[in-house]
Amino acid sequence: MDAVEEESKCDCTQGIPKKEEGSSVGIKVLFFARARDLTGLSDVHLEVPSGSTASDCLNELAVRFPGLEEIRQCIVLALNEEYASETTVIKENDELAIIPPISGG
Amino acid sequence: MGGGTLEHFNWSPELHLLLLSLSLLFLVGTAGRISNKAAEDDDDGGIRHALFISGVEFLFLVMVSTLKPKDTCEGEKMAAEDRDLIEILEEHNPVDMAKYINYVSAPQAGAIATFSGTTRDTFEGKTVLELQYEAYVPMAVRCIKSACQSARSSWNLMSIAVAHRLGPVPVGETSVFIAVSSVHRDDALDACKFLIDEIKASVPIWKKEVYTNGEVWKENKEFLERKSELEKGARDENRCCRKRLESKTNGHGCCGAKVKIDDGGCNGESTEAE
Repeated sequence: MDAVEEESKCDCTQGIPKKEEGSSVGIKVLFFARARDLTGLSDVHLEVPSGSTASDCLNELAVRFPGLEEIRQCIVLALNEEYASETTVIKENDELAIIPPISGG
Repeated sequence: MGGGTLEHFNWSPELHLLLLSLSLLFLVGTAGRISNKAAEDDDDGGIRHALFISGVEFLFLVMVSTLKPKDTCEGEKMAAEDRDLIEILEEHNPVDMAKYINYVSAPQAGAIATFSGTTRDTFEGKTVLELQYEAYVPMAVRCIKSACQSARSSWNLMSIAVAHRLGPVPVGETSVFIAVSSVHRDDALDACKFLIDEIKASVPIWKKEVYTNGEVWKENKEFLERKSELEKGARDENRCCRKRLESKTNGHGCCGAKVKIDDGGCNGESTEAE
């Protein structure tokens, strides 16, 4: 019993505290153009359960910012400055960008 | 990027030839002197000595001859890849076209092709006051670099310069500028078109069209065509951009009511990209 409890608290081989199972990951979400208009923010910090996908993050954002539903079907996502699918698993400190239809040039 | 380290030292063909010639002269001269001396002294040992010296010098000659000039093709390719100038200009900084034309110019370039995108004064009958641009700057730079790499893989190019403004761009002014140089004109012209098409399809930059009675975020039809590929994450090519496939578009915007028109009504007009 004690050994199991110890294991869950500390990765003893490395001597650093290990996150418990089911813990969250924190990411930064960036809003651009229409997305920023709808949320009123350029960026926001988001905590989601470990193992969440980009789609899960979008769902969480839609709860916090209902206005985003308007563009939900139009946007693409970028993770750490690269286009990513909604099924991509999010990691700690990732940067997720909400990219409405672009219009450069 | 500078030279100065040995790995960057350019063993030019001329230097290579000079070294070989000197080695050969030294070989012949020294062997000859020793041999003559040995013959005068009737000295077999001296002749063997001469042969030994000749052998050493021959080995030296072989070693020097195996020193290849630095792979100039690779050096030129590296230099060519480095000659991509990408600038996202902060607000109120106009495009200096001469700067970018100058950047891509080269004695070997027979052609410089340029594209300048300018703010026009009307859209579907509405008077446009200005365009306002914003960008996800680090990713935009990355995507433009990727587009340049794609262009280089398809055409024989020398230098590329791409500049895009942020902030307000009044009517008549340039918002995006591309300059491409190549030896022959077809490469520069085709690459220039490719690059503006790629920017419109996949680079995270947005423009808002400002009218007298409202404003709207534009949507490029090129993006709508490319969207399904971008949604997959483009993992197989690990880049934003690739050669655009021919595909039709229905020409309609993707989103619903996104126009803010201050005409007193709730106008759900959906505008299309130009």
